[in-house]
Amino acid sequence: MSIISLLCRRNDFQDRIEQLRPRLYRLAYSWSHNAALADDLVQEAMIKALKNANQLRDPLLLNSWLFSIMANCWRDHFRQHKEMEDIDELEDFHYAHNNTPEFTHAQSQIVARVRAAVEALPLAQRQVVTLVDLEEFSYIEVASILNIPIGTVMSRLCRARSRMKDLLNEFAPQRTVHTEKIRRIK
Amino acid sequence: MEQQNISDEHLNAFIDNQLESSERIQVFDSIRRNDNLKDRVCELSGLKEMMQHAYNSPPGQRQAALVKQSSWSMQLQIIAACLLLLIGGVSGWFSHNWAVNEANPNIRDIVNATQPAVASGNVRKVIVHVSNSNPLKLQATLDETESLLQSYRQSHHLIQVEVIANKHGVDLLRANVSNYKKRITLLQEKYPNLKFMVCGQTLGKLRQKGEAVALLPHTGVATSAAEQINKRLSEGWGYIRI
Repeated sequence: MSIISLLCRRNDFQDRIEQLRPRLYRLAYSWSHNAALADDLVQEAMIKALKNANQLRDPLLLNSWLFSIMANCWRDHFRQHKEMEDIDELEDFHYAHNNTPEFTHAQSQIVARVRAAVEALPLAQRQVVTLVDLEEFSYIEVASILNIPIGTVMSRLCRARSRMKDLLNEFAPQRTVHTEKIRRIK
Repeated sequence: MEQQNISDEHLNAFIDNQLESSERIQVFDSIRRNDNLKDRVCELSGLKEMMQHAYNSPPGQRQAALVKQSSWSMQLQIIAACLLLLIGGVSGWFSHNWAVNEANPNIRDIVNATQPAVASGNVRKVIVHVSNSNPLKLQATLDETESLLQSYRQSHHLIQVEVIANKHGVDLLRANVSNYKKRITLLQEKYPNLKFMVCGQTLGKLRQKGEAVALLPHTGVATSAAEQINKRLSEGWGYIRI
């Protein structure tokens, strides 16, 4: 194996990782719903992938390997910042946003409603459903990426979709009942 | 298989194309006979579609450089690369040709293994669908297609295969993205009864995003993948989804 081919291989590896950036970002965004955090997660995952490139035995497994690195980054981030979640801020958000015209309009749009439903899912379910639906990974690949048994993948996916259905109904704009009032004018 | 025996998990696996073909046929059969089951499947499929639509273009992606690295490690890498180039230059030059030849034996074997087709009976027609750019799936698409063509040729039966790519699967046939250009070219040369197509809708979306899309030679463009698959199914073609 020549040194030149080794260097070329590394460049090729970087290119392949770079090509996956939009997909990594999309998934990171679906997990965090925060553009800056999603960007940081992708960046961190790509740096780790480059540093540990020699651990990838089979180049065909690049996708699942890279996504599993990002899942680990996300888990680490969540562990580090779990205590910092400000409950008061969440309460403020709910009180400030409920029933405002902007909020109602946003909720009426399908994209916003689906994203809100995904955001409301428990983290573990959110990861499984996004990996299956957005990245179209097989159940076996998802199990390998998240390091969980395949049965858990299936049950989480099932619960996630069932909850999504309920949430989408919940977030659907309520139809107000208009009663026609007839006035009699003499 | 009765409807009450089909669990939600099983139905989810059906929607996600995770069942064996015999199980899929059973579910299809149950769906045909049961409207309630049909509604459940439609609901789950709709949910999946909505998910994909909702995250089609997430907001605020930074157009960052490849990877941030510390300037010190970058400098070290540049120096190391220069040294390696100097030391390995001569050996690399001589071993390069050897390495290139080493990478191609399979393709060469495939070309050498070409056998003449013998016409007999009816032509079997199959459409192969790929919608994912996962290298395992792209490779599987080519492997499955090739083994299909090969086995039919060996048994002197006629077959016509059309591979259609949509969504991320179009990466298979994009000139500046595909890692399988050589293999596809060789397959096309070897099997005139093999045709590659991409979804026009996916191409349109990529161009809207400002991406330059160039396709591999002899790649056809269908109005849409769904339309093409429907058309072929109505003409009696078999359908394989990778």
